[in-house]
Amino acid sequence: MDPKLIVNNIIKDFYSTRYALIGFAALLLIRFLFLSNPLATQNLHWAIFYPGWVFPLVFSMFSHGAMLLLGLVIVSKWIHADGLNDDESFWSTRPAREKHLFTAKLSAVAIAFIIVPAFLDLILGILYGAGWNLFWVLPNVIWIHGLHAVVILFLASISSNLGRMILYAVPMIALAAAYSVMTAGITLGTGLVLSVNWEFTLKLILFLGFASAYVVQSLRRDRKTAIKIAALSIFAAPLVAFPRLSDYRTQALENVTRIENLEIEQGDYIGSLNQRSETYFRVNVKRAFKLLDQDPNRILVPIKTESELTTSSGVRQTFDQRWVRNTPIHPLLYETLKKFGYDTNGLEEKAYDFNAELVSLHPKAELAPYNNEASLSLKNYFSEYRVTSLEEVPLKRFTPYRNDSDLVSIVSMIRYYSVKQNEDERILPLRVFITETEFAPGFNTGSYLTNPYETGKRLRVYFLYDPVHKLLAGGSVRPHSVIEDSQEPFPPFMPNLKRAYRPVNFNLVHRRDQAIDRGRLKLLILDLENAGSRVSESQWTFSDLSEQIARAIDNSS
Amino acid sequence: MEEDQMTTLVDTETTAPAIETRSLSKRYKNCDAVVDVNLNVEPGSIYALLGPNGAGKTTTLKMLMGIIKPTSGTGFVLGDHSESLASETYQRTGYVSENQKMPKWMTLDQLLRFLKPYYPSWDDALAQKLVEDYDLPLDRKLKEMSRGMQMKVKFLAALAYHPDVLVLDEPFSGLDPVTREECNDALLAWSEPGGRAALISSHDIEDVERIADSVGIIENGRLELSEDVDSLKQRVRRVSIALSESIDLPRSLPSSWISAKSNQRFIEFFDTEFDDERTEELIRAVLPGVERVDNQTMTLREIYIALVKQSRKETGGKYGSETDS
Repeated sequence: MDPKLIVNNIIKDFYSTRYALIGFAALLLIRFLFLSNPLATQNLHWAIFYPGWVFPLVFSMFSHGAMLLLGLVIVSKWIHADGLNDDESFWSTRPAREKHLFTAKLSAVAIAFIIVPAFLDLILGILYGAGWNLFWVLPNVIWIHGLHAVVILFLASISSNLGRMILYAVPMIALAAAYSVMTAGITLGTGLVLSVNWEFTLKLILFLGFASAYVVQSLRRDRKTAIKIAALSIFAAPLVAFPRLSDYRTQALENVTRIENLEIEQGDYIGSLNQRSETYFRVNVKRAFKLLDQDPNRILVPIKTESELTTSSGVRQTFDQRWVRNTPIHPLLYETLKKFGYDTNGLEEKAYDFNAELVSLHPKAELAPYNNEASLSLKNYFSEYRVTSLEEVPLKRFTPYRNDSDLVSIVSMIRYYSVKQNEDERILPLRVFITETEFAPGFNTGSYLTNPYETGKRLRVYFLYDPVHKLLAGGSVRPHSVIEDSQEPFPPFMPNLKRAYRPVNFNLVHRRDQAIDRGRLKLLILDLENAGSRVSESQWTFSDLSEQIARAIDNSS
Repeated sequence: MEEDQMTTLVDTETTAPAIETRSLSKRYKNCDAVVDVNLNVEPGSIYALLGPNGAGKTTTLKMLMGIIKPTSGTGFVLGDHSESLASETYQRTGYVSENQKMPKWMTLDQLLRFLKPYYPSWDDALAQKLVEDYDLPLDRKLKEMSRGMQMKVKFLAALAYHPDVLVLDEPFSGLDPVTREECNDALLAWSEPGGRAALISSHDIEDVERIADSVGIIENGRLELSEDVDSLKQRVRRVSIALSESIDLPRSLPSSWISAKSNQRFIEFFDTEFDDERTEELIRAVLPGVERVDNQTMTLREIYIALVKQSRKETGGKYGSETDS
């Protein structure tokens, strides 16, 4: 393959769509310059609370659509200019062969729609100084951009013009939906309610579709049996991959006790939350670290952990969880608070007890808060947990752009701080919080937002969710908490939104993996005694909150 | 470059046919588009593949160029199997088709610059000369050019790298006479060095009459005739007979006499096996009172029309000659 010919073709394609590419680049650049969170799906509703966000949010929605549209047009032009599906195309009798074209088109798409945008987003992430771990973010960022590119590339390769290309998208979407519905139906039939892994399903179908398209193209010129078999295999692969498609996890495969057979403590442990289920088990936590001389302005964030689960049948499984998801933070908080000089008497035991708080969204829901490994039936396993790597991060650098474990840290800190407050009957300087986090799409992480102590006493929490994302999340955001009719009109200036943003008690546990996958979770913690219900008084950013906490800790020490 | 070119030409002359098909066939779902076509285009010759619309010309050419896959049989271009033509073969082959899509957003200048890297033998001077000969604007986008100009661009894009073989699919269709003449001139100029071969499909023989050395007639997917033009013109003649008295045409005439017509004392037919002595002997044996026998050479167009008409009358009949040239 002559690289010169490939470059020649790429230059030709870029030149042919130069105006569209300039437009695409301009949108990318504007987004880069003005928007703070390229990885988070924006939601216009939030502009209500943050008027200053109206432009970025509206622009974000606009730019997302415009970039998608431009991408569609550009890739379509590139592919259809040298139509694979067209026996009158110009290239077909020229020395450029399929492999040249394939490489050239793929490279062009990768450059324009994956590498450059991903690079810009990465720079953005770094610029925001959120302490993004490059290697953690990179695959996701690339995937986010690659997802659109691949699907467009696939559709373009099997069509001869833009109209047909759009038309062909319809059965593909139907296919993706059918797979998901099918897998959901089957899992329901087995008595297991498993969250359909929509994202994985879609990825797999896209990949298989792309691969199939290439094979089909090969078939046009070469009808060798091997290729026919390859094509059939690719189409049949989803059936083989079914267990994965349906998020059919270890528990289901091993037929381990389902949740309904577990002893679940239901009750009023946290007040009026009546759909909450909890179970307890013990995890031995090995303290892999000895913390010395920790900067009081810094917090420790686990970045790598290991869990070892032993089944009652003697099978041992070790999981190297590179990224902490909703794994217990308590030990770290304990260490942190200790280093802050906080009185940790009595906390150690608590800190090293892993209290698995799980919420049942459905009577048959699994216990698993994670996607794969943690779907093990917890009661049947002896678990060992240890943190193997810690990252020390300045408190001020906590931003919504870090992974969810930061959020957990912060919330948990609030929790423990409150414990202290209750014990000492002192007034906590933190009265009114708005905690806010943004979840990067595609990060299947969990977050615990619990506060069993304040509930029903002084704090009322408004859990805001977006009905759109609720739908995207398969409805799983829906009440894992009792929704109370609040006497306070909320939001006071838009009563109609009450339907969308309903006040709930704080004692909810938000299952990240089944809830808002691509949204923004927002908690309003209002001190009803002192702050009333005026939302405007409670608008703090997450960094503000961090600073508050840091200040509070400083004061208390 | 010229030395290389000559080497190539000499090689080509001493080796296999420039283009060859062996029982080439293409079947679509319910119809045979091409059936058992055997043809050779020798180096140094221009072969015109004639036939009405839908006869299978384009399908044959597309199979040869590797654009579509034959159902059976094989094709060769410069000795390379047509189903897997190498880039090097494409670098020595020019293809022009009235239907081929061009990157019309490009200007001619951009097109030439885009094509150049693909062809080691690309000749900037020749390209420039053809641009001037054809009076083509370098800075105009192809989509803004007339049909005739676009066809000239296709010729230019196929000739500028000194191909050893040209495959032209209906290259003159819809062109005005002047443009046709220019394209014909370009072809003749291209073929001047000798050893170069062209296969031209057309449904109108006038397009290629001036330049074709050999001709094949394809109908209903079958190559009904394949022959040198000179031999064909010698073999197929218009024969006029003057009789001493008016007679009815005998029911049974020699099979080589086609389209026979009588008008009182005069009879006229096309003889597909004409031979001065033998034909006259045969005439005198079949017809009484023959006073005078005249024969006239026919244009390729006349021969083509006569043969096609006859073929349609006698379903499946060949045109009186072997198909292999």
